[in-house]
Amino acid sequence: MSGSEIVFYVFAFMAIASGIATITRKNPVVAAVWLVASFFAVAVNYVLMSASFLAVLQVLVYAGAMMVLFVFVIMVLDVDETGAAESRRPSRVGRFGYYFGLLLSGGMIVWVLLATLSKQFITPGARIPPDAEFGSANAVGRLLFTDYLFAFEAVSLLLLAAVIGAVVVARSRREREKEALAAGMTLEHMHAAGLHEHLQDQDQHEGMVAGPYAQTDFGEPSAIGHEGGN
Amino acid sequence: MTFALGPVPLLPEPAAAAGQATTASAQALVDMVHLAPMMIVGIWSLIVLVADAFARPGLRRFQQTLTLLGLGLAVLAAVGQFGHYEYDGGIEVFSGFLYVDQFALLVDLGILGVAGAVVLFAGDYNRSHRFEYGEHESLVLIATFGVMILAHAGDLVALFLGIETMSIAVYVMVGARWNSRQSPEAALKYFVMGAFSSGLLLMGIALVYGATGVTGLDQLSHEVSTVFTKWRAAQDYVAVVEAPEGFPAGMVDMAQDKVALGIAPAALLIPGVLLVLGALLFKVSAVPFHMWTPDAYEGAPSPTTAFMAAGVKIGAFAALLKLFVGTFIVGSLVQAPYGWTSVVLWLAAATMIVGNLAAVRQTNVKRLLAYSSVAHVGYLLVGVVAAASFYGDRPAKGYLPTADEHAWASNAGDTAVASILYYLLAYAVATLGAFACVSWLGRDKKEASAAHEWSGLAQRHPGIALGMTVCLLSLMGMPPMGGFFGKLFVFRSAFEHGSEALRIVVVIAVVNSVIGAVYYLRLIVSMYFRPPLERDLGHVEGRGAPVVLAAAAALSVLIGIGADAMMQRCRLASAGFRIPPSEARAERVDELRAQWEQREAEADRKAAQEEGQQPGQKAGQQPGQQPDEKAQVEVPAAAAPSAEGGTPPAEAEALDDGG
Repeated sequence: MSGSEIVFYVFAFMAIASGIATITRKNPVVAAVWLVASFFAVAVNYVLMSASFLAVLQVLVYAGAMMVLFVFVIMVLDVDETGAAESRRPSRVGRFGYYFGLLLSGGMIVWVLLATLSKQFITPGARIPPDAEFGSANAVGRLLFTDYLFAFEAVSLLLLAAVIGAVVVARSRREREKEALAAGMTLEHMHAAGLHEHLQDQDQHEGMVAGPYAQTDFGEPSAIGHEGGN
Repeated sequence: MTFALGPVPLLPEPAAAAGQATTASAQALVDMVHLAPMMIVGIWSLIVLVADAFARPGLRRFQQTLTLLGLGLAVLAAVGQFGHYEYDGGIEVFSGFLYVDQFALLVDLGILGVAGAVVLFAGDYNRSHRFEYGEHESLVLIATFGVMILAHAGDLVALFLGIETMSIAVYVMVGARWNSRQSPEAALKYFVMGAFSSGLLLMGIALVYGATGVTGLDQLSHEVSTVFTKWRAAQDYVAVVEAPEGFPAGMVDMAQDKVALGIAPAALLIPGVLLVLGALLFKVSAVPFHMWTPDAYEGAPSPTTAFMAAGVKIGAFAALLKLFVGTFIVGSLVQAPYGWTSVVLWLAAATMIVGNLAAVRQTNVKRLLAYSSVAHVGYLLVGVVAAASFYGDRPAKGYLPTADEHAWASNAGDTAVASILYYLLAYAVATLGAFACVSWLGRDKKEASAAHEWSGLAQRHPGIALGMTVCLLSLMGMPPMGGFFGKLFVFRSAFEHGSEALRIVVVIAVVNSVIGAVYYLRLIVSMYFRPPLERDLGHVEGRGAPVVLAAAAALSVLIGIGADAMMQRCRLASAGFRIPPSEARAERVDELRAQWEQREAEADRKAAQEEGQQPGQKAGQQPGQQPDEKAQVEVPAAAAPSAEGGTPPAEAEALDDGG
């Protein structure tokens, strides 16, 4: 076993272990820190695959910027440390999903192990050593600004749409609160227009699965008024 | 269609551009000029966004006008290019990342029209329901940009980018109605399911890339067949690996390597293709993946629903056609047992049955239209399967020489793609009209979308009811309307293929169209023959929705009456569909044009002869048949020469050497 292989196995194990830790920790901040560890381990493996630029980006962007954002969001949202999941019994669908997911991932792991041991599906990896340029910032930059120039530009528009989305959603919340303050007048107005009567039967025929937002009458301003009143 | 403009000399010829020693940046500029419609839409979304920052609340109409101006410019650019690629089969831009061809331009025009209509009536709707927000127009433009990427995509990365750009903008539009409880819920459902399906798409793309090592659609179509060639070659060594007794150790080792090398790519490719297929079926809301559709359509603001039902469908079907009909058309991937068509065919049947049966039970017009759109996806998928079967399957016509069979299958496949395009456009027009009407009724944060609220609509608003009726009849498939010819073309080309399963599904589809008539007619009857509600539910102020409705109704009829010309446009767009833009495609397009011209000339000559010989007989021949309808039926028949049961040998020879 050569040196690079040892490094690979050590960090691959670290990546998987911290990945498992991420999804099993109750405290979201701790889970986020485990996720950082996983990103670091994966970054080391990128270096082994001579994608050094990608590894640097992984550490800078994912382990750095993204995780700071995650932790901020977690703190701002003030999630309960023990998590609400424990206090609530999982629904039948939730339990089914849990066991099904366990079965699926377990089966896949067993399958991969068996295939690995029986040497059936192992393709001899590309043994061609990449040239010195491969994976460097130089090479990535050249590709990004020639072949993938359009993708580079289009992604900026995609991100713009996401930013607009964040602004619109955040503003909706503020507007809803404003609306709640003025709800008395609006409610009166709606009653006068007689627009609230048929909402009841409209709800009955809807095959909508009751989600977390489905507790009140849809589109009924009085529901919003309630919320504001409380 | 009246876009009869000739080629535009403004655009630099791609060959000439390549001949000069151009730098990369100059080439990029040239590519951007070729992508003018798309670039205009992309840049305009930024302009509109910045303009919104300076707009005062009272000046939102200016925003709308500005957006329409941008869309108009993009339409002009697309129309300018429209004739151009009919002749040269299109080009690749950004080193094959995107294609600019007739197919993409037709889809561009379609989506630009959809975006323009949505912008026209969304402003009034948002204002009337008091959730006006300035980013709406910009989001519509970004979503349009995403659909245009899908139409132009020449690479799996472009495909993913397009789907994401389109979806993210639409998620936001769905959830933007802050004074409704339903809207955020719909957005959440749509977003979670959509993000999941994007994950499937990305995993599928990764597997396909792992199996083939390329992402460009052009190289992919070659590599996919290489994968199966290797797979077949490896089969000989399987016996050695399974029973290694008696073989020398070196040979067993070599056999193991060969088997691993041969089977691994296929073992990666097939799950990858199925994952991509699942993701795209989610985007078009085909049956096992349709659960989100009614909730998202109902909860979204009506203009956004219109964009989802018309625009997103166009984009998703463009992607489906590009990838599955244009790229993965190797026999092994198309035919049973490993092929996707056998699965998708029965999914199509299930999609229309579930969509129609669920729609019959709906009492909310938006949900009804949502389920009806699911049913329409079923009909369209039949066409997709037919097109792929023609290209991949090469059904044997006993009396034709092999080369002619090949040419016939290519021709028939092109016709199937053209039928899908026609159907999509007719469906998009009618759906836009229907949702414009839905968005017009009701005001002050309350949509009048319950079916009973529509009773007696014709007495209150006769014009609106008439427009809605025309659109519903088109969706239902009433003969003079576009919807009928869409169904006719798609079912016809599916029936032509001649495989048992396809014919059974076509019969199911026809029965389903009749079931579909139940709920469309019930709504129409309710509008015309029921007494109106005592209280007036009011309507959105502004002229946007009625204008769109009138235009949609008129276009539905026009597309139907002019189905001949329209189908011809679609056929030009789909000529040589599975060949990526290249010299070969240009030759194929030239060849097809020559064939059509020859056939038209022959038909004219025959007609002239008949008229000369029996002047009296022809007039009395088909008294019941409308002249335009007869013309329609003849187009696909002429395109796929064996349609009428027998091809004259002379004509079959004219088809020689299609590939």
